[in-house]
Amino acid sequence: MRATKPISAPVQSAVSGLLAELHAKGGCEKIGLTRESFEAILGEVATKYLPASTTHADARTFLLTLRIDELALAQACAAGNNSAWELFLTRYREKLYQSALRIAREDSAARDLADSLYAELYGTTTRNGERVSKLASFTGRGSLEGWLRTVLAQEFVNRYRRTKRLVSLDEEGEDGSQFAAPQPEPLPSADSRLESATDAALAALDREDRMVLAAYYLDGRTLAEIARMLGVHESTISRKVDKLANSLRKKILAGLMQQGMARRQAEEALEVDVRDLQVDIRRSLAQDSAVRAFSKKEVQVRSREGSG
Amino acid sequence: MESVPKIVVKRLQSPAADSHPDADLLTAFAEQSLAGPERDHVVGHLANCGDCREIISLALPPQVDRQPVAHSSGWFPWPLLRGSAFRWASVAAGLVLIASVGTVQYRRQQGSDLASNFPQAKPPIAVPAPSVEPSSPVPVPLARSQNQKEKLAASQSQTALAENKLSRSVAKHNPTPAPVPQRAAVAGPSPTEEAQSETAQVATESPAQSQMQDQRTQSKAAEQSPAYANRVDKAKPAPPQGSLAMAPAPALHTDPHFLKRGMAPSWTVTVSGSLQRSLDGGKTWLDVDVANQEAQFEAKQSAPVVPPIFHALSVSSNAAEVWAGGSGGALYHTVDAGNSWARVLPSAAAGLVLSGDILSIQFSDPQNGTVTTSTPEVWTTPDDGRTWQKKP
Repeated sequence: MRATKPISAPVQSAVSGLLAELHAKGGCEKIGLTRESFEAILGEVATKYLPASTTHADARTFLLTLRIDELALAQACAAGNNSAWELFLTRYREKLYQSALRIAREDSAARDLADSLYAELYGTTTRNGERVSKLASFTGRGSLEGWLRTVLAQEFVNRYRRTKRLVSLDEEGEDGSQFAAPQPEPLPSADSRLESATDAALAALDREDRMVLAAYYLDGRTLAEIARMLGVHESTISRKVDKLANSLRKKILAGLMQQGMARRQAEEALEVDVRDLQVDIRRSLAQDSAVRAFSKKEVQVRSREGSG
Repeated sequence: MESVPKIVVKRLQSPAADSHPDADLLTAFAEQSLAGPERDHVVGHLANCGDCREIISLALPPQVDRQPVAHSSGWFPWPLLRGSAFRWASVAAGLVLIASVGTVQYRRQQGSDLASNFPQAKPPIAVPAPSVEPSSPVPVPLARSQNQKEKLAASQSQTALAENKLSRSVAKHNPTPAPVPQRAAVAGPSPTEEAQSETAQVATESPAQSQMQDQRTQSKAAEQSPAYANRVDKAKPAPPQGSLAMAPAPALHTDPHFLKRGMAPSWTVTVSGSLQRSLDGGKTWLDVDVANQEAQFEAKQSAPVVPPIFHALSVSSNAAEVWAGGSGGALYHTVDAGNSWARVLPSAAAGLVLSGDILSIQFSDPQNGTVTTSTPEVWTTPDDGRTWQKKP
């Protein structure tokens, strides 16, 4: 991990004040993390997430919420400490494969997924003569086990997207153009008034409400899944979805009527079948590429002197 | 679940404008450890980024106690109790509840019938009091069972065979008579104390109470309690039309309810000198007209006998054997908890006969007893009343 911005004075003072306590709490001595190197790690983590105007108290509170022992273990592994690596394998190797199996749902794919991440965690590539480990990017905001699941899921999604595109291209090449699906005739665009009214109603939604709607209606997730994502009860999501659906319909109708539609006309426009709507495929694809894929990237290696 | 217009689904597909949160933030969000602006930022991104929603969903920790409903459309978590199954379960629960209440009520009804409805189930032997209708004949028992009649006849024949003055209606030659344990003797109140002591009662349920004790003390203590007034009221049921109602003695030893419950009768002598018995632990009391009952057994008189005024009572610990004494040397004895009574006439060899009012009866054991009269005389028996001696 390499700091992208200088460590502010409040952060530095908070780190210095808590260093002894956190160093002992993380068991850093056993895994070869010196105080100096751990101080630098804490400063970088705090600087990454805290705003520049943070106070000493905020920095202190933030540092106390970190998973200190897991942060120390991950950073010690990234620094190449063997005892830390053995400890990591003992604790997480089996969980890594189990999580991969749960995500991929197929044994060979799961093993492939886990092995690739395992290589990244160990750091098979080098930069400036040093092993580059993905564990160096772990900051202790969540649990190390949860972080491993997340990076597994990121890798799985990246692979899926790559495979999907590749297969599409292969199929096109093998089948030839005669088997290519006929291009649908361009459908008339939806009434611009309907789109604007819908966009206005969606924009007025709370972020979480919009996320719930997208997860339920767009992703097809169950109420239970959404509830787990947000850490609430399933019934809460059920009520929220019902309420949001009713509210959206009313708001869109009101927006359409404000734009000069009669109520009957607005209702007919709202109930128009999806076949009448132009599904903007290119735009959807653009959404996929608008944001770069979850990365191979950003393992920012911090060269630390004397670490390990 | 409410559906939304399809245009809403389409417009929800707007692309995410910002970069993806890093794995640490997504992990912290999934573990509910993000708060404030950081969480808002992640949620805002998730609202527009299907990939990150997918990642969050995939990275959720496995559920240890996974909900059985994966595609729940309602709030109720148990699929077996949903819909019709739940309705049928409700109906079944209701039926069980009704049946339970009915059973409890039926048992309670039976209990009260046994305790208080003996005269109704077996119409009482209405013996008009001589002071009211002295010339009226003794009504024939209306509902006395055939078994009781046979039992009465057997008692009469046995009584006739008795050689001494102690006439017993109980088959003393019973090969296996029930052992009679210690008695609880009650000294009847003296005439001067009658005003203070309304009743002398012996509760015979526990062996400890079978010991010799001064029941009068208990009576005085009982007088002060409100429950006592109720008991006295119940102990004096208004006789129908002024006649002296004698409750027929229930066949205690043959009554299955009685035997099943193991209830022992309670005995008392009221302040007016009536002998009463309770079969429900003292809740209700019924007069026992031992004099007329005994007279009918003996079949010696057609006219009703004026019942004596009882002063003394002695009850065995199992309440089966009872001695009751009162005015005019009236001494009655039962060994079957009042099913049948025998008049006992203590007399000595010199022709002396007990004639005074019996004030106390004390039995130290089933055989040895002492009777004190108002004359004053003290009579003792060493053989359960077969022979008597008058103490000088």
